[in-house]
Amino acid sequence: MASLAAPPQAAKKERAPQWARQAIIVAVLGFLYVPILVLIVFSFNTSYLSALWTGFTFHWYRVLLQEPTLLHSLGVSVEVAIIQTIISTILGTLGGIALHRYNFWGKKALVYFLYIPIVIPEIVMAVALLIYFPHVGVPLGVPAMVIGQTTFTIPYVVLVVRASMAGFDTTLEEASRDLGASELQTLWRVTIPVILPGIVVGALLSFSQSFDDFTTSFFVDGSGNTPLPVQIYGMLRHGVNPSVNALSTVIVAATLIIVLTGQRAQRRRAQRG
Amino acid sequence: MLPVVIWMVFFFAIPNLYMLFISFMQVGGYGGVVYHVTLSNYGLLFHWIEFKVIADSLLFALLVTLFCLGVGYPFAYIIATAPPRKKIVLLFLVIVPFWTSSLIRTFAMMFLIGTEGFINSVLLSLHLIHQPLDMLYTLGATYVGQFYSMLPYMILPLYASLQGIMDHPEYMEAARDLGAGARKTFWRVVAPLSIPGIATGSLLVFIPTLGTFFIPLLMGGGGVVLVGNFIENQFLAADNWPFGAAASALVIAITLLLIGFGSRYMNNAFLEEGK
Repeated sequence: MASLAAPPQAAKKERAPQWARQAIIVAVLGFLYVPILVLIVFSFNTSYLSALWTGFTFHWYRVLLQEPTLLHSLGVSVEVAIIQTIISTILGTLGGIALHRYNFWGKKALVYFLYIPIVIPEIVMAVALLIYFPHVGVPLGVPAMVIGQTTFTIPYVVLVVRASMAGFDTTLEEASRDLGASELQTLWRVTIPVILPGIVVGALLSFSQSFDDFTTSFFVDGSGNTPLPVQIYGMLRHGVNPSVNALSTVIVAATLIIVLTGQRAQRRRAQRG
Repeated sequence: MLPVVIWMVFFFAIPNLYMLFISFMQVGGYGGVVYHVTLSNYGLLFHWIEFKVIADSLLFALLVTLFCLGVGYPFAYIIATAPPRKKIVLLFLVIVPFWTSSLIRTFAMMFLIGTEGFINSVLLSLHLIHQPLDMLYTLGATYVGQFYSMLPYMILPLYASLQGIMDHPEYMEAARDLGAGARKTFWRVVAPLSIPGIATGSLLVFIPTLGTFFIPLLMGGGGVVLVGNFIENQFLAADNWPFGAAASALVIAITLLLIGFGSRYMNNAFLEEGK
Protein backbone atom coordinates (compact mmCIF):
# COMPACT_ATOMS: atom_id res chain seq x y z
CA MET A 1 0.00 0.00 0.00
CA ALA A 2 2.76 2.39 0.98
CA SER A 3 4.52 2.08 -2.36
CA LEU A 4 1.29 2.87 -4.20
CA ALA A 5 0.59 5.94 -2.13
CA ALA A 6 4.02 7.57 -2.23
CA PRO A 7 4.53 9.77 -5.28
CA PRO A 8 7.86 11.59 -5.76
CA GLN A 9 8.66 14.89 -4.07
CA ALA A 10 7.90 17.05 -7.10
CA ALA A 11 4.51 18.55 -8.06
CA LYS A 12 3.62 19.70 -4.60
CA LYS A 13 0.23 21.07 -5.60
CA GLU A 14 -0.89 17.82 -7.24
CA ARG A 15 0.38 15.57 -4.47
CA ALA A 16 -2.52 15.67 -2.06
CA PRO A 17 -5.26 14.73 -4.56
CA GLN A 18 -3.02 12.10 -6.17
CA TRP A 19 -2.40 10.53 -2.77
CA ALA A 20 -6.12 10.58 -1.99
CA ARG A 21 -6.95 8.99 -5.34
CA GLN A 22 -4.62 6.07 -4.73
CA ALA A 23 -6.02 5.60 -1.23
CA ILE A 24 -9.61 5.48 -2.55
CA ILE A 25 -8.67 3.04 -5.32
CA VAL A 26 -6.92 0.73 -2.87
CA ALA A 27 -9.77 0.91 -0.35
CA VAL A 28 -12.61 0.27 -2.81
CA LEU A 29 -10.86 -2.45 -4.80
CA GLY A 30 -9.68 -4.03 -1.55
CA PHE A 31 -13.23 -4.06 -0.24
CA LEU A 32 -14.51 -5.60 -3.48
CA TYR A 33 -11.78 -8.20 -3.86
CA VAL A 34 -10.36 -9.21 -0.46
CA PRO A 35 -13.41 -11.34 0.48
CA ILE A 36 -13.34 -13.18 -2.85
CA LEU A 37 -9.56 -13.69 -2.76
CA VAL A 38 -9.68 -15.01 0.83
CA LEU A 39 -12.45 -17.38 -0.22
CA ILE A 40 -10.39 -18.66 -3.16
CA VAL A 41 -7.18 -19.09 -1.13
CA PHE A 42 -8.98 -21.09 1.55
CA SER A 43 -10.52 -23.46 -0.98
CA PHE A 44 -6.97 -24.93 -1.14
CA ASN A 45 -6.57 -25.17 2.65
CA THR A 46 -6.19 -28.61 4.30
CA SER A 47 -8.05 -27.75 7.51
CA TYR A 48 -11.78 -28.52 7.61
CA LEU A 49 -12.76 -26.22 10.44
CA SER A 50 -10.64 -23.16 10.83
CA ALA A 51 -9.85 -20.27 8.57
CA LEU A 52 -6.17 -20.61 9.46
CA TRP A 53 -3.74 -21.76 6.82
CA THR A 54 -2.61 -25.33 7.49
CA GLY A 55 -1.38 -26.52 4.11
CA PHE A 56 -2.15 -26.79 0.41
CA THR A 57 -4.55 -29.37 -1.03
CA PHE A 58 -6.89 -30.07 -3.96
CA HIS A 59 -8.94 -32.32 -1.67
CA TRP A 60 -12.08 -30.11 -1.64
CA TYR A 61 -12.23 -30.08 -5.40
CA ARG A 62 -12.11 -33.89 -5.41
CA VAL A 63 -14.93 -33.89 -2.82
CA LEU A 64 -17.04 -31.80 -5.22
CA LEU A 65 -16.68 -34.32 -8.01
CA GLN A 66 -17.89 -37.10 -5.70
CA GLU A 67 -21.02 -35.21 -4.64
CA PRO A 68 -23.93 -36.56 -6.73
CA THR A 69 -26.45 -33.95 -5.53
CA LEU A 70 -24.11 -31.12 -6.55
CA LEU A 71 -23.49 -32.63 -9.97
CA HIS A 72 -27.24 -33.06 -10.42
CA SER A 73 -27.82 -29.41 -9.44
CA LEU A 74 -25.13 -28.31 -11.88
CA GLY A 75 -26.93 -30.26 -14.59
CA VAL A 76 -30.26 -28.58 -13.75
CA SER A 77 -28.68 -25.12 -13.77
CA VAL A 78 -26.95 -25.67 -17.10
CA GLU A 79 -30.12 -27.10 -18.68
CA VAL A 80 -32.29 -24.19 -17.51
CA ALA A 81 -29.65 -21.62 -18.48
CA ILE A 82 -29.22 -23.01 -22.01
CA ILE A 83 -32.95 -23.28 -22.77
CA GLN A 84 -33.79 -19.84 -21.41
CA THR A 85 -30.78 -18.23 -23.14
CA ILE A 86 -31.99 -19.56 -26.50
CA ILE A 87 -35.53 -18.25 -25.94
CA SER A 88 -34.51 -14.86 -24.56
CA THR A 89 -31.82 -14.31 -27.21
CA ILE A 90 -34.22 -14.97 -30.10
CA LEU A 91 -37.12 -12.95 -28.66
CA GLY A 92 -34.87 -10.17 -27.34
CA THR A 93 -32.98 -9.81 -30.63
CA LEU A 94 -36.20 -9.53 -32.63
CA GLY A 95 -37.56 -7.05 -30.09
CA GLY A 96 -34.37 -4.97 -30.10
CA ILE A 97 -34.28 -4.76 -33.91
CA ALA A 98 -37.98 -3.90 -34.12
CA LEU A 99 -37.67 -1.19 -31.47
CA HIS A 100 -34.86 0.41 -33.38
CA ARG A 101 -36.44 0.17 -36.79
CA TYR A 102 -40.11 0.97 -36.34
CA ASN A 103 -41.92 3.86 -34.81
CA PHE A 104 -45.41 3.14 -33.65
CA TRP A 105 -48.09 4.44 -31.37
CA GLY A 106 -47.32 3.72 -27.71
CA LYS A 107 -43.67 2.87 -28.35
CA LYS A 108 -42.40 4.86 -25.41
CA ALA A 109 -44.87 3.21 -23.04
CA LEU A 110 -43.88 -0.18 -24.41
CA VAL A 111 -40.19 0.52 -23.75
CA TYR A 112 -40.98 1.42 -20.13
CA PHE A 113 -43.09 -1.72 -19.82
CA LEU A 114 -40.26 -3.88 -21.20
CA TYR A 115 -37.68 -2.53 -18.80
CA ILE A 116 -39.78 -2.83 -15.63
CA PRO A 117 -38.84 -6.53 -15.13
CA ILE A 118 -35.18 -5.46 -14.82
CA VAL A 119 -35.78 -3.06 -11.96
CA ILE A 120 -38.68 -4.61 -10.09
CA PRO A 121 -37.53 -6.60 -7.00
CA GLU A 122 -37.15 -10.18 -8.13
CA ILE A 123 -39.01 -11.67 -5.18
CA VAL A 124 -42.22 -9.88 -6.19
CA MET A 125 -42.06 -11.41 -9.67
CA ALA A 126 -41.22 -14.82 -8.21
CA VAL A 127 -44.24 -15.02 -5.90
CA ALA A 128 -46.56 -13.70 -8.63
CA LEU A 129 -45.42 -16.52 -10.92
CA LEU A 130 -45.67 -19.06 -8.09
CA ILE A 131 -49.39 -18.40 -7.66
CA TYR A 132 -50.01 -17.90 -11.41
CA PHE A 133 -48.35 -21.03 -12.87
CA PRO A 134 -50.86 -23.60 -11.51
CA HIS A 135 -53.68 -21.72 -13.29
CA VAL A 136 -52.03 -21.95 -16.71
CA GLY A 137 -50.69 -25.47 -16.34
CA VAL A 138 -46.99 -24.68 -16.10
CA PRO A 139 -45.42 -27.34 -13.84
CA LEU A 140 -43.00 -26.16 -11.16
CA GLY A 141 -39.46 -27.24 -11.97
CA VAL A 142 -37.45 -26.69 -15.15
CA PRO A 143 -40.28 -25.16 -17.26
CA ALA A 144 -41.26 -22.74 -14.46
CA MET A 145 -37.63 -21.68 -13.93
CA VAL A 146 -37.09 -21.20 -17.66
CA ILE A 147 -40.17 -18.98 -17.98
CA GLY A 148 -39.51 -17.04 -14.78
CA GLN A 149 -35.92 -16.22 -15.73
CA THR A 150 -36.64 -15.49 -19.38
CA THR A 151 -39.03 -12.77 -18.27
CA PHE A 152 -36.25 -10.77 -16.67
CA THR A 153 -33.47 -11.68 -19.13
CA ILE A 154 -35.35 -10.65 -22.32
CA PRO A 155 -35.11 -6.94 -21.43
CA TYR A 156 -31.32 -7.21 -21.09
CA VAL A 157 -31.05 -8.71 -24.58
CA VAL A 158 -33.41 -6.05 -25.98
CA LEU A 159 -31.31 -3.34 -24.32
CA VAL A 160 -27.97 -4.59 -25.68
CA VAL A 161 -29.25 -5.40 -29.19
CA ARG A 162 -30.99 -2.05 -29.46
CA ALA A 163 -27.77 -0.30 -28.43
CA SER A 164 -25.77 -2.16 -31.08
CA MET A 165 -28.41 -1.31 -33.72
CA ALA A 166 -27.69 2.34 -33.01
CA GLY A 167 -24.31 2.12 -34.72
CA PHE A 168 -25.77 0.13 -37.60
CA ASP A 169 -25.46 1.49 -41.12
CA THR A 170 -28.97 1.12 -42.62
CA THR A 171 -27.67 1.61 -46.17
CA LEU A 172 -26.42 -1.98 -45.92
CA GLU A 173 -30.01 -3.20 -45.61
CA GLU A 174 -31.12 -0.95 -48.46
CA ALA A 175 -28.33 -2.32 -50.63
CA SER A 176 -29.40 -5.86 -49.80
CA ARG A 177 -33.01 -5.12 -50.76
CA ASP A 178 -31.93 -3.36 -53.96
CA LEU A 179 -30.06 -6.52 -54.90
CA GLY A 180 -33.33 -8.45 -54.61
CA ALA A 181 -33.09 -10.01 -51.13
CA SER A 182 -36.33 -10.52 -49.20
CA GLU A 183 -36.94 -9.00 -45.74
CA LEU A 184 -36.10 -12.30 -44.08
CA GLN A 185 -32.96 -12.84 -46.16
CA THR A 186 -31.81 -9.31 -45.35
CA LEU A 187 -32.37 -9.88 -41.66
CA TRP A 188 -30.56 -13.22 -41.61
CA ARG A 189 -27.72 -12.46 -44.06
CA VAL A 190 -27.05 -8.77 -43.38
CA THR A 191 -28.52 -7.34 -40.16
CA ILE A 192 -27.84 -10.22 -37.77
CA PRO A 193 -24.22 -10.85 -38.84
CA VAL A 194 -23.40 -7.16 -38.39
CA ILE A 195 -24.89 -6.89 -34.90
CA LEU A 196 -23.73 -10.37 -33.88
CA PRO A 197 -21.25 -9.08 -31.24
CA GLY A 198 -24.14 -7.30 -29.53
CA ILE A 199 -26.27 -10.44 -29.66
CA VAL A 200 -23.41 -12.46 -28.16
CA VAL A 201 -23.08 -10.00 -25.27
CA GLY A 202 -26.86 -10.17 -24.70
CA ALA A 203 -26.79 -13.98 -24.73
CA LEU A 204 -23.84 -14.10 -22.30
CA LEU A 205 -25.59 -11.67 -19.97
CA SER A 206 -28.75 -13.75 -20.18
CA PHE A 207 -26.85 -17.00 -19.52
CA SER A 208 -24.99 -15.68 -16.50
CA GLN A 209 -28.14 -14.06 -15.04
CA SER A 210 -29.89 -17.41 -15.32
CA PHE A 211 -27.02 -19.51 -14.03
CA ASP A 212 -26.63 -17.26 -10.97
CA ASP A 213 -30.35 -16.84 -10.36
CA PHE A 214 -31.36 -17.66 -6.84
CA THR A 215 -34.61 -15.88 -5.99
CA THR A 216 -36.89 -16.99 -8.85
CA SER A 217 -35.55 -20.54 -8.76
CA PHE A 218 -35.95 -20.74 -4.99
CA PHE A 219 -39.72 -20.20 -5.35
CA VAL A 220 -40.56 -22.17 -8.49
CA ASP A 221 -38.02 -25.02 -8.68
CA GLY A 222 -40.46 -27.63 -7.37
CA SER A 223 -38.94 -30.76 -5.84
CA GLY A 224 -36.06 -32.77 -7.26
CA ASN A 225 -34.89 -29.95 -9.54
CA THR A 226 -32.72 -27.93 -7.18
CA PRO A 227 -30.45 -25.69 -9.28
CA LEU A 228 -26.92 -24.91 -8.11
CA PRO A 229 -27.53 -21.51 -6.40
CA VAL A 230 -30.42 -22.92 -4.36
CA GLN A 231 -28.24 -25.92 -3.45
CA ILE A 232 -25.42 -23.60 -2.36
CA TYR A 233 -27.87 -21.58 -0.30
CA GLY A 234 -28.94 -24.78 1.48
CA MET A 235 -25.29 -25.61 2.20
CA LEU A 236 -24.70 -22.12 3.61
CA ARG A 237 -27.66 -22.41 5.94
CA HIS A 238 -26.40 -25.73 7.28
CA GLY A 239 -22.93 -24.48 8.09
CA VAL A 240 -19.99 -23.78 5.88
CA ASN A 241 -17.33 -26.25 4.79
CA PRO A 242 -14.38 -25.82 2.44
CA SER A 243 -16.04 -27.61 -0.47
CA VAL A 244 -18.38 -24.60 -0.74
CA ASN A 245 -15.23 -22.49 -1.13
CA ALA A 246 -14.05 -24.82 -3.87
CA LEU A 247 -17.41 -24.71 -5.65
CA SER A 248 -17.50 -20.90 -5.39
CA THR A 249 -13.98 -20.69 -6.80
CA VAL A 250 -15.04 -22.74 -9.82
CA ILE A 251 -18.06 -20.47 -10.39
CA VAL A 252 -15.98 -17.28 -10.01
CA ALA A 253 -13.48 -18.67 -12.55
CA ALA A 254 -16.33 -19.45 -14.96
CA THR A 255 -17.71 -15.91 -14.47
CA LEU A 256 -14.31 -14.44 -15.27
CA ILE A 257 -14.21 -16.41 -18.55
CA ILE A 258 -17.69 -15.16 -19.47
CA VAL A 259 -16.75 -11.52 -18.73
CA LEU A 260 -13.56 -11.79 -20.79
CA THR A 261 -15.50 -13.32 -23.71
CA GLY A 262 -18.07 -10.53 -23.48
CA GLN A 263 -15.36 -7.86 -23.42
CA ARG A 264 -13.73 -9.36 -26.51
CA ALA A 265 -17.04 -9.41 -28.36
CA GLN A 266 -17.61 -5.77 -27.42
CA ARG A 267 -14.13 -4.74 -28.51
CA ARG A 268 -14.72 -6.41 -31.86
CA ARG A 269 -17.95 -4.43 -32.11
CA ALA A 270 -16.11 -1.22 -31.28
CA GLN A 271 -13.47 -1.93 -33.92
CA ARG A 272 -16.11 -2.53 -36.58
CA GLY A 273 -18.13 0.51 -35.61
CA MET B 1 -41.85 -7.18 -31.64
CA LEU B 2 -45.07 -9.08 -31.27
CA PRO B 3 -43.59 -12.28 -29.73
CA VAL B 4 -41.85 -10.24 -27.02
CA VAL B 5 -45.03 -8.37 -26.20
CA ILE B 6 -47.05 -11.59 -26.02
CA TRP B 7 -44.44 -13.17 -23.74
CA MET B 8 -44.38 -10.16 -21.44
CA VAL B 9 -48.15 -9.93 -21.26
CA PHE B 10 -48.54 -13.61 -20.40
CA PHE B 11 -45.63 -14.05 -18.04
CA PHE B 12 -45.24 -10.58 -16.60
CA ALA B 13 -48.34 -8.42 -16.79
CA ILE B 14 -51.04 -11.03 -16.15
CA PRO B 15 -49.22 -12.73 -13.22
CA ASN B 16 -48.78 -9.37 -11.53
CA LEU B 17 -52.39 -8.35 -12.13
CA TYR B 18 -53.47 -11.73 -10.79
CA MET B 19 -51.43 -11.08 -7.66
CA LEU B 20 -53.07 -7.67 -7.32
CA PHE B 21 -56.45 -9.43 -7.59
CA ILE B 22 -55.46 -11.98 -4.91
CA SER B 23 -54.41 -9.15 -2.60
CA PHE B 24 -58.06 -8.08 -2.38
CA MET B 25 -59.27 -11.59 -1.46
CA GLN B 26 -59.64 -13.26 1.92
CA VAL B 27 -57.53 -16.06 3.27
CA GLY B 28 -59.26 -19.38 3.95
CA GLY B 29 -59.10 -21.32 7.20
CA TYR B 30 -56.47 -23.74 5.87
CA GLY B 31 -54.42 -21.27 3.88
CA GLY B 32 -56.43 -21.27 0.64
CA VAL B 33 -57.85 -18.19 -1.05
CA VAL B 34 -61.52 -17.32 -0.51
CA TYR B 35 -62.95 -15.18 -3.29
CA HIS B 36 -64.53 -12.45 -1.19
CA VAL B 37 -63.44 -8.91 -1.85
CA THR B 38 -61.81 -7.24 1.15
CA LEU B 39 -59.46 -4.41 1.94
CA SER B 40 -58.35 -5.98 5.20
CA ASN B 41 -55.00 -7.21 3.82
CA TYR B 42 -53.99 -3.63 3.16
CA GLY B 43 -55.38 -2.54 6.50
CA LEU B 44 -53.25 -5.16 8.24
CA LEU B 45 -50.11 -3.85 6.54
CA PHE B 46 -50.49 -0.67 8.53
CA HIS B 47 -50.62 -2.43 11.87
CA TRP B 48 -47.62 -1.73 14.01
CA ILE B 49 -45.54 -4.91 13.43
CA GLU B 50 -46.00 -5.09 9.67
CA PHE B 51 -45.64 -1.38 9.26
CA LYS B 52 -42.36 -1.51 11.14
CA VAL B 53 -41.06 -4.13 8.68
CA ILE B 54 -41.91 -1.85 5.77
CA ALA B 55 -40.46 1.24 7.43
CA ASP B 56 -37.29 -0.71 8.35
CA SER B 57 -36.95 -1.88 4.75
CA LEU B 58 -37.32 1.65 3.36
CA LEU B 59 -34.74 2.97 5.83
CA PHE B 60 -32.41 0.05 5.04
CA ALA B 61 -32.68 0.67 1.28
CA LEU B 62 -32.19 4.42 1.73
CA LEU B 63 -29.05 4.06 3.86
CA VAL B 64 -27.51 1.41 1.60
CA THR B 65 -28.16 3.69 -1.39
CA LEU B 66 -26.52 6.64 0.37
CA PHE B 67 -23.47 4.53 1.35
CA CYS B 68 -23.13 3.30 -2.23
CA LEU B 69 -23.42 6.85 -3.54
CA GLY B 70 -20.89 8.17 -1.02
CA VAL B 71 -18.29 5.56 -1.89
CA GLY B 72 -19.24 5.02 -5.52
CA TYR B 73 -19.18 8.64 -6.66
CA PRO B 74 -15.52 9.41 -5.84
CA PHE B 75 -14.51 6.07 -7.28
CA ALA B 76 -16.49 6.56 -10.51
CA TYR B 77 -14.97 10.04 -10.78
CA ILE B 78 -11.49 8.58 -10.43
CA ILE B 79 -12.19 6.03 -13.18
CA ALA B 80 -13.63 8.69 -15.51
CA THR B 81 -10.60 10.96 -15.08
CA ALA B 82 -7.94 8.21 -15.15
CA PRO B 83 -5.50 7.83 -18.07
CA PRO B 84 -6.91 5.48 -20.79
CA ARG B 85 -4.88 2.38 -19.94
CA LYS B 86 -5.59 2.60 -16.22
CA LYS B 87 -9.25 3.33 -16.95
CA ILE B 88 -9.69 0.05 -18.82
CA VAL B 89 -8.17 -1.91 -15.92
CA LEU B 90 -10.26 -0.13 -13.24
CA LEU B 91 -13.46 -0.54 -15.25
CA PHE B 92 -12.77 -4.24 -15.75
CA LEU B 93 -12.20 -4.64 -12.01
CA VAL B 94 -15.67 -3.17 -11.31
CA ILE B 95 -17.38 -5.21 -14.04
CA VAL B 96 -16.15 -8.58 -12.71
CA PRO B 97 -17.97 -8.30 -9.33
CA PHE B 98 -20.99 -6.87 -11.21
CA TRP B 99 -21.22 -10.18 -13.09
CA THR B 100 -20.31 -12.45 -10.16
CA SER B 101 -23.18 -14.24 -8.41
CA SER B 102 -24.29 -12.13 -5.45
CA LEU B 103 -24.98 -15.33 -3.49
CA ILE B 104 -21.31 -16.28 -3.78
CA ARG B 105 -20.18 -12.76 -2.95
CA THR B 106 -22.41 -12.90 0.13
CA PHE B 107 -20.83 -16.20 1.10
CA ALA B 108 -17.36 -14.63 0.67
CA MET B 109 -18.37 -11.90 3.11
CA MET B 110 -19.74 -14.52 5.56
CA PHE B 111 -16.46 -16.41 5.37
CA LEU B 112 -14.55 -13.21 6.09
CA ILE B 113 -16.48 -11.97 9.13
CA GLY B 114 -17.97 -15.19 10.57
CA THR B 115 -17.31 -16.36 14.14
CA GLU B 116 -14.82 -18.91 12.78
CA GLY B 117 -14.08 -16.71 9.79
CA PHE B 118 -10.88 -15.26 8.47
CA ILE B 119 -10.77 -11.99 10.43
CA ASN B 120 -11.51 -13.69 13.77
CA SER B 121 -8.96 -16.43 13.07
CA VAL B 122 -6.25 -13.92 12.29
CA LEU B 123 -7.02 -11.69 15.30
CA LEU B 124 -7.17 -14.72 17.63
CA SER B 125 -3.89 -16.14 16.39
CA LEU B 126 -2.21 -12.76 16.84
CA HIS B 127 -3.63 -12.65 20.40
CA LEU B 128 -5.23 -9.29 19.69
CA ILE B 129 -8.54 -10.69 20.92
CA HIS B 130 -9.31 -13.62 23.21
CA GLN B 131 -12.86 -14.30 22.08
CA PRO B 132 -14.14 -14.23 18.51
CA LEU B 133 -15.96 -10.99 17.68
CA ASP B 134 -19.68 -11.36 16.92
CA MET B 135 -19.75 -9.65 13.55
CA LEU B 136 -21.88 -12.00 11.46
CA TYR B 137 -25.62 -12.44 12.12
CA THR B 138 -26.16 -8.79 13.04
CA LEU B 139 -27.95 -5.86 11.44
CA GLY B 140 -24.55 -4.30 10.74
CA ALA B 141 -23.48 -7.41 8.83
CA THR B 142 -26.67 -7.19 6.77
CA TYR B 143 -25.79 -3.60 5.83
CA VAL B 144 -22.24 -4.61 4.90
CA GLY B 145 -23.48 -7.57 2.83
CA GLN B 146 -26.06 -5.53 0.93
CA PHE B 147 -23.61 -2.66 0.36
CA TYR B 148 -20.99 -5.13 -0.86
CA SER B 149 -23.48 -6.70 -3.24
CA MET B 150 -24.84 -3.41 -4.68
CA LEU B 151 -21.75 -1.19 -4.96
CA PRO B 152 -20.92 -2.08 -8.60
CA TYR B 153 -24.53 -1.23 -9.59
CA MET B 154 -23.91 2.31 -8.36
CA ILE B 155 -20.41 2.75 -9.79
CA LEU B 156 -21.17 1.70 -13.38
CA PRO B 157 -24.01 4.18 -14.19
CA LEU B 158 -22.15 6.95 -12.35
CA TYR B 159 -19.07 6.22 -14.42
CA ALA B 160 -21.09 6.27 -17.67
CA SER B 161 -22.53 9.65 -16.76
CA LEU B 162 -19.21 11.20 -15.62
CA GLN B 163 -17.40 9.85 -18.67
CA GLY B 164 -19.97 11.61 -20.85
CA ILE B 165 -19.10 14.88 -19.09
CA MET B 166 -15.34 14.32 -19.37
CA ASP B 167 -15.78 13.77 -23.11
CA HIS B 168 -16.78 17.44 -23.31
CA PRO B 169 -13.93 19.27 -21.55
CA GLU B 170 -15.23 22.56 -22.94
CA TYR B 171 -17.81 22.74 -20.11
CA MET B 172 -15.10 22.65 -17.47
CA GLU B 173 -12.86 24.97 -19.48
CA ALA B 174 -15.67 27.48 -19.79
CA ALA B 175 -16.19 27.42 -16.02
CA ARG B 176 -12.48 27.92 -15.41
CA ASP B 177 -12.27 30.73 -17.99
CA LEU B 178 -15.04 32.45 -16.12
CA GLY B 179 -12.89 32.30 -12.99
CA ALA B 180 -14.26 29.28 -11.14
CA GLY B 181 -11.77 27.23 -9.13
CA ALA B 182 -11.55 23.44 -9.28
CA ARG B 183 -13.97 23.02 -6.38
CA LYS B 184 -16.51 25.45 -7.75
CA THR B 185 -16.24 23.89 -11.23
CA PHE B 186 -17.05 20.52 -9.74
CA TRP B 187 -20.02 21.64 -7.66
CA ARG B 188 -21.52 24.02 -10.22
CA VAL B 189 -20.79 22.13 -13.46
CA VAL B 190 -19.80 18.48 -13.06
CA ALA B 191 -22.10 17.52 -10.18
CA PRO B 192 -25.32 18.93 -11.72
CA LEU B 193 -24.52 17.33 -15.09
CA SER B 194 -24.03 13.96 -13.39
CA ILE B 195 -27.55 13.91 -11.91
CA PRO B 196 -28.74 11.34 -14.51
CA GLY B 197 -26.00 8.95 -13.33
CA ILE B 198 -26.91 9.57 -9.69
CA ALA B 199 -30.61 8.90 -10.40
CA THR B 200 -29.95 5.73 -12.40
CA GLY B 201 -27.44 4.32 -9.91
CA SER B 202 -29.65 5.15 -6.94
CA LEU B 203 -32.67 3.39 -8.48
CA LEU B 204 -30.57 0.36 -9.44
CA VAL B 205 -29.45 0.10 -5.79
CA PHE B 206 -32.57 1.22 -3.92
CA ILE B 207 -35.18 -0.98 -5.63
CA PRO B 208 -33.40 -4.37 -5.44
CA THR B 209 -32.36 -3.53 -1.86
CA LEU B 210 -35.99 -2.84 -0.94
CA GLY B 211 -36.87 -6.38 -2.08
CA THR B 212 -33.70 -8.08 -0.82
CA PHE B 213 -34.33 -11.41 0.78
CA PHE B 214 -31.43 -13.85 1.04
CA ILE B 215 -28.83 -11.33 2.27
CA PRO B 216 -30.78 -10.54 5.50
CA LEU B 217 -31.32 -14.29 6.00
CA LEU B 218 -27.67 -15.21 5.55
CA MET B 219 -25.95 -12.16 7.05
CA GLY B 220 -28.62 -11.22 9.62
CA GLY B 221 -29.19 -14.79 10.74
CA GLY B 222 -32.98 -14.55 11.08
CA GLY B 223 -32.85 -11.59 13.45
CA VAL B 224 -33.25 -9.14 10.59
CA VAL B 225 -36.69 -9.24 8.91
CA LEU B 226 -37.21 -7.02 5.89
CA VAL B 227 -40.21 -6.87 3.57
CA GLY B 228 -38.70 -9.50 1.22
CA ASN B 229 -38.48 -11.93 4.13
CA PHE B 230 -42.01 -11.03 5.16
CA ILE B 231 -43.33 -11.80 1.65
CA GLU B 232 -41.44 -15.11 1.50
CA ASN B 233 -42.83 -16.05 4.90
CA GLN B 234 -46.45 -15.30 3.92
CA PHE B 235 -46.18 -17.43 0.78
CA LEU B 236 -44.04 -20.36 1.92
CA ALA B 237 -44.61 -20.65 5.67
CA ALA B 238 -47.70 -18.79 6.92
CA ASP B 239 -49.75 -19.74 3.83
CA ASN B 240 -51.48 -16.39 3.77
CA TRP B 241 -51.25 -15.58 0.07
CA PRO B 242 -53.58 -12.55 0.07
CA PHE B 243 -51.56 -10.87 2.83
CA GLY B 244 -48.27 -11.63 1.04
CA ALA B 245 -49.79 -10.40 -2.22
CA ALA B 246 -50.79 -7.11 -0.57
CA ALA B 247 -47.21 -6.60 0.66
CA SER B 248 -45.91 -7.40 -2.84
CA ALA B 249 -48.37 -4.96 -4.39
CA LEU B 250 -47.16 -2.25 -2.01
CA VAL B 251 -43.53 -2.92 -3.04
CA ILE B 252 -44.52 -2.74 -6.73
CA ALA B 253 -46.38 0.52 -6.12
CA ILE B 254 -43.32 2.06 -4.43
CA THR B 255 -41.10 0.78 -7.26
CA LEU B 256 -43.29 2.23 -10.00
CA LEU B 257 -43.58 5.56 -8.18
CA LEU B 258 -39.80 5.79 -7.88
CA ILE B 259 -39.26 4.85 -11.53
CA GLY B 260 -41.87 7.36 -12.65
CA PHE B 261 -40.27 10.07 -10.56
CA GLY B 262 -36.67 9.06 -11.27
CA SER B 263 -37.04 8.55 -15.02
CA ARG B 264 -37.18 12.32 -15.50
CA TYR B 265 -33.61 12.47 -14.28
CA MET B 266 -32.26 9.13 -15.42
CA ASN B 267 -29.59 8.41 -18.03
CA ASN B 268 -31.38 8.92 -21.29
CA ALA B 269 -29.37 6.13 -22.88
CA PHE B 270 -31.17 3.75 -20.55
CA LEU B 271 -34.60 4.45 -21.96
CA GLU B 272 -34.34 6.53 -25.09
CA GLU B 273 -33.21 5.46 -28.52
CA GLY B 274 -29.50 4.65 -28.26
CA LYS B 275 -28.43 7.22 -30.84
